[in-house]
Formats: sequence, C-alpha cells, structure tokens
Amino acid sequence: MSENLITIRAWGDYACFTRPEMKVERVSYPVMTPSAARGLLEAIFWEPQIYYLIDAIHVIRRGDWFSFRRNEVEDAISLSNSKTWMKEPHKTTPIRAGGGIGTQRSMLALASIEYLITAEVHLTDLGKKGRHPLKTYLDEIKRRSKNGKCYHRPYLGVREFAADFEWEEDAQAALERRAAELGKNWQNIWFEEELGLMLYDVFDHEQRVRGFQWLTDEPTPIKKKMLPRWDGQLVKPEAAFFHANIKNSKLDCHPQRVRLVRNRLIER
Amino acid sequence: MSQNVLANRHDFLLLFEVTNGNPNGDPDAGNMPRIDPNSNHGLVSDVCLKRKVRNFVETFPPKRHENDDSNGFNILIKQGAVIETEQKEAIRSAKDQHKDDKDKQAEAAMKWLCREFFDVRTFGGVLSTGDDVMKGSAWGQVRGPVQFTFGQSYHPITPLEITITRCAVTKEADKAKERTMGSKHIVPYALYSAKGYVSPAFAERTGFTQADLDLLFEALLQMFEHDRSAARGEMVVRGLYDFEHIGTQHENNAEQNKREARLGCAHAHKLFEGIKVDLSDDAKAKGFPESFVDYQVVCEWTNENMPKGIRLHKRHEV
Repeated sequence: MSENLITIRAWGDYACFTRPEMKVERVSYPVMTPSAARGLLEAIFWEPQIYYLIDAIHVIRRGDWFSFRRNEVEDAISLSNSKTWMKEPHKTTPIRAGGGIGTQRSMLALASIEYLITAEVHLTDLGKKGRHPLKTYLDEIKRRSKNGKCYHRPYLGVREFAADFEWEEDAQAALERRAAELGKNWQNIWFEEELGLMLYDVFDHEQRVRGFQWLTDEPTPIKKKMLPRWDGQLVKPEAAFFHANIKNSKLDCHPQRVRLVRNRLIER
Repeated sequence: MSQNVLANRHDFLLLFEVTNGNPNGDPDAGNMPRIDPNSNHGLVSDVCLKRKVRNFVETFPPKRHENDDSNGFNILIKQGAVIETEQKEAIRSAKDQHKDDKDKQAEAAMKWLCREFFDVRTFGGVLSTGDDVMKGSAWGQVRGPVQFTFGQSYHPITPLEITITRCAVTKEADKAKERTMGSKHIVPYALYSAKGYVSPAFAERTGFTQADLDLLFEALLQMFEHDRSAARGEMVVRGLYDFEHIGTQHENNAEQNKREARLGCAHAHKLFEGIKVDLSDDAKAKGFPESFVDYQVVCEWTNENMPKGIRLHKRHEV
C-alpha cells in the first residue's frame, strides 16, 4: 500500500452509472465506473495541483435493479436563442413540459448501493511547482471526508442520486467490517464476474498529469512571483474503456493493471 | 448579481403525506403510484417535486427589485401548452452585449438566463450551444445549487385501483353510451420523505441568493396547497427540517466561519438520522399507518447535542 492511497466509503439509495452505448434510455453499469468515482472524490475536494487515479472499487452492497420512467423535456435551452432574448425579451418562448409534450424516458438504475473507493492522489506538474507537499492535500481530503465537508454534494452518476460519504483508514478492514455488519462474507458479496467493456473515463489521466485549464470569467492578472493559476492545455473529452472484472467483491481499475482501450479519432 | 448570494450550505429533509391520492403516477404501469418493486416503498420523483416548486413560483412570483441587476422570478420550463400570454415584461433585456468574443457572449447569455429565470438559477439546466464555437465547452451546462433526491415512503404502500363512472365520454365513438368506466389509483395513506441539498459553490455561479432560498422553502411548504386535484388526494407537508451550516468558530472569526459554512460542518446523513420517524405503538400493533397520528416524528437534535456549526430551522413551524 502506497502512502498516497486514500479510501472513501460512499453509499446512497439509488445510482445510475449510464452506459454510453445506451444513452437514450439510460441504463446503468452494474457497478460504479472509475470516472464516477473520480467525480465523487472531486466533489469533496479537488484543486488543479492534484489529480485522482482510481485504484479499485470495492463493493459492499451491489444494489438491486429497478426501472423508472419519467416525462422529460426534449428541448435544451438554446444559447443562440437566448442571445436574441437578451435584446428583445418579449420574444422569449418558455420550454414546455408535461401534458403530452416532451418525451417519456426510462432509466434502469441501481437501488441501495455501497462502495469503497480507493484512489491514489498525485501531484500534477503545477502541484510539483507549488509550495505544498502532497501531504497537505492528503490531510485536507481526510479532514473534509471525516467532517462531512464537500465542495458540492457528491452524487452517484446523476445529481438526483445524492451520495453520502465517510473516510476509511483501510479498505480491506472496512470491507470486512461492513460485510460482517450486513451478515455476509466479504468475498461473496460479489464473488467473480466478467462485466465486459466498461467506460474508464472521458478525460485522459495522462493529460491530467500535465495540468488543466481554467475556464475563468476574467483572465487572471499575472503578477510577478505569483505562480500561474493554471498551467496546461484544454483537455478534450475522449472516452477510454477497459475490461472490467469483479473478483472477491473488487473491481480493479488501476491503469497500470488494466489495459485501457481508447477510441482515438484519426486526425484528418 | 450584486445581491446577497447564498454562502451557507444547507441540507434539508422534507416530510409529506398523501391521503387517498396518487402523489406521482408511473407511466410504466398505467399511472399507478410509483413503487419500488424491491421494497414496496412508494416513490416520488425529483422532477415531480421540482415541477411543483416551479408552478408555485410561476403563480406567486415575488416582486422584483428596481435596481438593474436584481434577480427575476420568471420560469423557463413551464407546464403544458400554456397560452402565449405570459408576463414577459418581467423579463429584462441584457445590457452588455459582447459583440466579438464568443466566449464572453456565451457567458453573458448564461448569466442573463440565470438572472431572469428562477428555475435556471435554482435547478440549473442544459444549454444547447448550437453551431457556436462553444460546443462542448463548460458553458453548455448550468449546474444548479439545489438538488433533490427521490421521495421515498417510510413504509410499504398498498396502491388501490378505484373504478369510477365517467359521465362525460372521451371518445366520439362512445357518444351513445353516455357513460364510460374509468379508473384511478390511490394510496390510502403514506408518509414520504425527500432530501435536498444546497451547494453554495454553485450558488455563486448562478447568483442564487438567500432570498431565493427563502422562496424555495416557501414554495416547498405551500406547493401542495396550490396543486389540488381529485387524482392527488390530500397532500400535506408535515415537516421541513433545514440544517444550515454556519461554521464552528467563534463569531469574531467571521472569515473562517464563512469558509466552513461553504463546505459544511457535519455529514448530511448524520444530521438526517437525527430526525426519527417511526410508527406509534398502536400503529405497530395494527401493522400499517392510516394517518399522520400513527406516526411519531421525533427530532432528536437539541441545542446541546447538535454538532457544532449547525443551526436547525424547522421551516414548517411558523
């Protein structure tokens, strides 16, 4: 176990980790994806000086499938229209919902899930140039997750499925403790299963090492001696997949141990 | 957006009941009340609650302040095919137009939408950026500070199908019949709870103010009063426990308190666990609840045992 490994226990009533291949009618993966885990950790704490590399997802409660159909609004708010509205507000047309307008969409989601997320915390290039050692950030993550502090409410795939979280010192100990509390053998919560290709992340972790660009309202004035607030490039989203295998209630997803499959577009 | 932007995290628990009505129909099951098939607990979707908040604010919009950059209370996502007679004068045009910079234009449009429309400012929304260079940029999504979870009933529900006689036929073909049979579904009684979270970090981005939050709570408390229908039965809000995070430091240390209040001072699940809802002994013997009398709602939080830095507002007790 390396020094920079953290463990966060996260749980919630519902979760939907949408498969990108079935996006119209949302269908969840049977287990949390590494990118959802990253998003959950970033909701608690994140700064451009660090990035998370998800090590593994341990399953405490697998959850039950349930389907849910809702009336959804088809229209998105059009930015180009709103530019017209800004000039001439009387031209505004509200978006209609309900009463046969819009569309019905179903969602196949999970109910009652609980995971242990183990992740490595690394400094980005910007962080390496900064004043703080990695321990500063690790301490802050620990302080926040112990005290229930978060930048925004973490969620399990979609925002209506809010997540609760707690700091854990050791993943294996926490898994065994929680399994015993639920009256189960920790290995048999989910003994073994091949889940096929699963989304790893839409942001390349190798690009994130190099940095990140803020989309600021105002360009930050560069003062002398002040480190730049960002240092890097605009990262374009690009999906990467991996072969997901559950073994002894654990989804291993460290990029050094799983092979990532990228869908690289050929440059024209 | 010069007003008093919300700076404190809030976690709130909404308790509401239904008597002989259908709180939220399931289109997958012929409009039966939503039910979790694994546990038989009733469900109410997050969007159902948000719809009622929107309808309330649309019906009772607060008066707008005179100054130019005050927030408006219009609703962008409206219910049904409303006739085109909205009070559009309430929507104000934007002053700054960024002619050249596409980035600035998109940003200005997003800010304008947040300022004019209460629902965009509160719940966020997806913006389509069209053919703009902004496609795929962060301006394409507004994340609202207010987040609702599904409402869940505390105990399994037993939906009933009620057959009714309709005096008015709905189809031309049935004209000779004069009357047709119809049906509706009811839940005899159930107490539901839904959780809500308000994240100040997003409030800063959309300009969601303390006044907006007060309006949201007002809407939550009164939404069912203005949503009466035969199908809905009787719906009543029985509790709105609002945990405000205010910071653990001495009041002289306002800076530190402000930082703490933004991130929160305690786990939300621990705060919610302090609101104990259980059947009364009589109801336990009976096995199921028939009215709110059969429930014991106990708030275990007192000034002594409340985690430091949290203030509980019981919004339902006015």
